[in-house]
Amino acid sequence: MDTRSATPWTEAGQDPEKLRLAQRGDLTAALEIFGAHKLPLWRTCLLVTRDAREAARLYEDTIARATRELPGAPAQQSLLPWLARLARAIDADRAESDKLDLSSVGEHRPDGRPWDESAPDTGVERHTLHGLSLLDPDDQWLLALRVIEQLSYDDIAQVTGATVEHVAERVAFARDQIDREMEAEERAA
Amino acid sequence: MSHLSIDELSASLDGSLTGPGSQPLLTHLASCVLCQEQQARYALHDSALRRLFQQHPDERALDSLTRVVVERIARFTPPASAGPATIQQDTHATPADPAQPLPPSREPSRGMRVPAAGAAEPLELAPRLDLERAPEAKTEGPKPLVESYDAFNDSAYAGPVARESPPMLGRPIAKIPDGDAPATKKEYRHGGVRRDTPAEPTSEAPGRRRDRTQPAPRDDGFGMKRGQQPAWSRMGLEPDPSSPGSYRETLTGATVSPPPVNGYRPGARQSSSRRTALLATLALAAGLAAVALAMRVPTGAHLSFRFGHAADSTPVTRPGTPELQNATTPPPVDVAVPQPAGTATSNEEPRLCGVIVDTKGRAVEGALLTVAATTTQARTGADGRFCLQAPAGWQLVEVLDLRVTGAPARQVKMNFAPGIAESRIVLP
Repeated sequence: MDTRSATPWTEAGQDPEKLRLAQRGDLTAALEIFGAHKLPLWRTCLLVTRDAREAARLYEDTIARATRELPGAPAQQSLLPWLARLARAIDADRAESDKLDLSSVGEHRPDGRPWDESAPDTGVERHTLHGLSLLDPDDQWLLALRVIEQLSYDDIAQVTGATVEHVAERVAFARDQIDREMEAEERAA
Repeated sequence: MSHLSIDELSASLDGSLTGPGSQPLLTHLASCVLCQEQQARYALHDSALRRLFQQHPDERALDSLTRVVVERIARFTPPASAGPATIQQDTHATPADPAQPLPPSREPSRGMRVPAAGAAEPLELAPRLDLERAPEAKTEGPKPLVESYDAFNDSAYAGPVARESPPMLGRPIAKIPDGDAPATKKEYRHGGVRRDTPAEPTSEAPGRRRDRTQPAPRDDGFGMKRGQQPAWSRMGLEPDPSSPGSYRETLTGATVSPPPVNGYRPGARQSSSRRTALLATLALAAGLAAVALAMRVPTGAHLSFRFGHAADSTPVTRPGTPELQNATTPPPVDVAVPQPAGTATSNEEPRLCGVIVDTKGRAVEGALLTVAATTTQARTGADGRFCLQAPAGWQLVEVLDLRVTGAPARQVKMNFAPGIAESRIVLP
């Protein structure tokens, strides 16, 4: 059964004419295209970096690189997966060059607010974030597409280029890894 | 029946556990507490992830950031250009319509850091200089500023035969071929020399024969060559007995510290440096005068510099007529993000309106005009009309016909001058 739906991630070529104009130098069209994808792209940057300030930097770099490479953007499919891949590639390069410790959980939530220790869900959120940070970046992205972006397995397979079976397996593995990490921390506590 | 695997639990949580073999699994899940508990834990993590990352940022900040970044990048990405367009001058055209909306502003792009939402961390400013460290106290006692210039004086006045190289160049100074050989010397970069062995007052008895193998005795810090007055004496100074190492003027008694030994240099070198300084000052003044004269161009426009290939010829200006000329040089293109109509712009830049038609005289809608080297863009309306605002003078404008896929950009040269008539551009 094809469960694919029309989402910003999968909608093929939202406006080919607008993309064509943007590729030929019409900056208004480029801004409209980027503006249509700004929120999912921001969430992707936030997921990849898990820090609001770093996410702003990554968003900025992604837009800059996308503007440069806009003439080579895919015209027959959604631009959002292309943008997300750019963001992930930029972050991977930066993490490798800066030798960042991506497995740690900072003193702030990803949105920049400090952790509220009195809130009942803070412990779960902190453990979940730590478990997420230990995952492979590809598994992180697959889980985020499923849980945060609410895409179906078919849509995720279309966006990532993987098979549906692989997507289902990796999403289940990611969930189990986060749960195992949380269990280990609970035992240690 | 065994419990569900993690794949089945995950698929069930996502509603993807379907198919003919799924019914027993769902039946087991409905009755198994352990499987339900495990699935609930997965759901707990999912909800935590949504809370963590379902952030709603300031969309205006994102739009602003996107706009600035795109503008900055696009300024260095010129579109593909082509040959010159066919331009016709419409001598009967009406002047520019002041009711037309203003073209986009040309505000330069600057920094683009967007404030992080909710981040309250102050920026950490580290001092660039360690200003708090106290200066080191000088523990050494007063030292004579100049210990000896006699060797320099000796070599300078011994004549060219005695010097193997000019003084003041840091080269070894030839020994003077007399038996009064000085002690080991070290040279300063400014040409002076000093002795490693301090001068000691003479202890020879009067009339005693001096050993020629030993350094000549010195009476004072400056030293003295036989038959000459001491250096400080030739400078009109005498040692200040109250302050060792200092000197005072013989006539006035004023203490001189440091002694003006630098003023007692060979005249040729002194005049050479002064001549160089004078020439440099004259050259600077002449350059400034040339720039000032160049800025007073009779056209009234500001002095403009064009980088890239020079144009073939300077366009001939005919008063009262549209001034358009085919452009043959592709300069760097500078495009900008158009702003909404009515945006405040500088009133100093003239505005040029016109119309773009095809060879059959029909208006071209949606053509994109970009003023090179600026951040100004405009698009023609349904009637083919456009309005551009750019610095006064001749400007290269790129015209992109968006009706045709892959059509090359045309470059036209337009004169932005106050009161210029409407221009007419004909696209093939």
